Amino acid sequence: MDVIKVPISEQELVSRLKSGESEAFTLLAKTYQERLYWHIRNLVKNHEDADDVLQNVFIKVYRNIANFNEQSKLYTWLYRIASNESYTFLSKRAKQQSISSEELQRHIVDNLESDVYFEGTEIQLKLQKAITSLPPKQQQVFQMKYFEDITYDAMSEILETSVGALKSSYHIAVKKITTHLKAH
Amino acid sequence: MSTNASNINKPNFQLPENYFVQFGKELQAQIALEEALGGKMKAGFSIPEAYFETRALSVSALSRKQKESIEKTPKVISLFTRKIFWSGLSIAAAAILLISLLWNPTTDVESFDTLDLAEITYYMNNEALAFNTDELAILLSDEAMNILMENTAILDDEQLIEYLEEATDMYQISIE
Repeated sequence: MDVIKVPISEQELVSRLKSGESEAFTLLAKTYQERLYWHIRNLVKNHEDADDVLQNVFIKVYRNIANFNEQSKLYTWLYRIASNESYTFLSKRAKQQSISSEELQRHIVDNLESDVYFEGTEIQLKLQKAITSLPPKQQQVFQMKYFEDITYDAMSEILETSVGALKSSYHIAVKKITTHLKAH
Repeated sequence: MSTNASNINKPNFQLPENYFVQFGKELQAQIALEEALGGKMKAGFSIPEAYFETRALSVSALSRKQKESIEKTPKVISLFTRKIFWSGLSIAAAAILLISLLWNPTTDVESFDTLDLAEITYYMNNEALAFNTDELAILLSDEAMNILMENTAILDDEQLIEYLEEATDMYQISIE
């Protein structure tokens, strides 16, 4: 992951956020919204859903910033909230439709072809379908590494998983996706 | 210049066991993926024009609105927070009770369909029972997950840890 440049130190930003400064919250949003959006979008796929989840993430951050203990980095905390909110969203959506999470994911990817905010080629669509065939953890690791270029060290902090386990997970995901692409 | 690897003067750096074997396998897998895709691929998603500019403005408006809302109703927030805390404790207690009822070291763990007890044991042994949502999603059945998700707002990692620390005796009993 590239170093995220914040015009003020992270400590100062957190301090200002905790004191309830609206300007600090705007700065936080401007700094992190794009990365968080793409992280969420890779998980929920659809723009409108990603937009809703991103909104929820910032609401949660605003309400809980006082509880942020600063033992982890701010971006780590934000990514964790974004991941959790995305999975919560998908779980609720699956429940609403009385289907499993796996079925929901298949529906979402099948609908990508008619999504105005999906401009992928046939091979990109196949890639999305291949990703959906992976277990949730492998999906997340693959997307964070392949699409978001997040380093294993950063990913290790976010997912609270060892670098070795993440490397192994990514390697297995790559092999499964390749096999899926060749078979379909 | 010799190309024989054994002739290379090695400094005293250590490598993980079978590093080059694993490196070769990973590289091979990555190349196979690139070949199957025809190169490095992007996800293919797009966004509405000027989306992030408008998003930043709406977040800014949201923070002002939330601040005003909080400032206007301090007593309600306080009472709600207390209610949230005790509700959170009730859920944590229920979760512990559920685990303690289901936990039997002599029972074959494979007989449980909806709870991965090995995973729970791992968390217990590491005193890290603050699950995140995706871990819970893996551990719990859809129905249990849904019940939990409906109460998402009342679960807080710190409160859960605090509760577990206070209830150490009960926690110990449940795993003994």
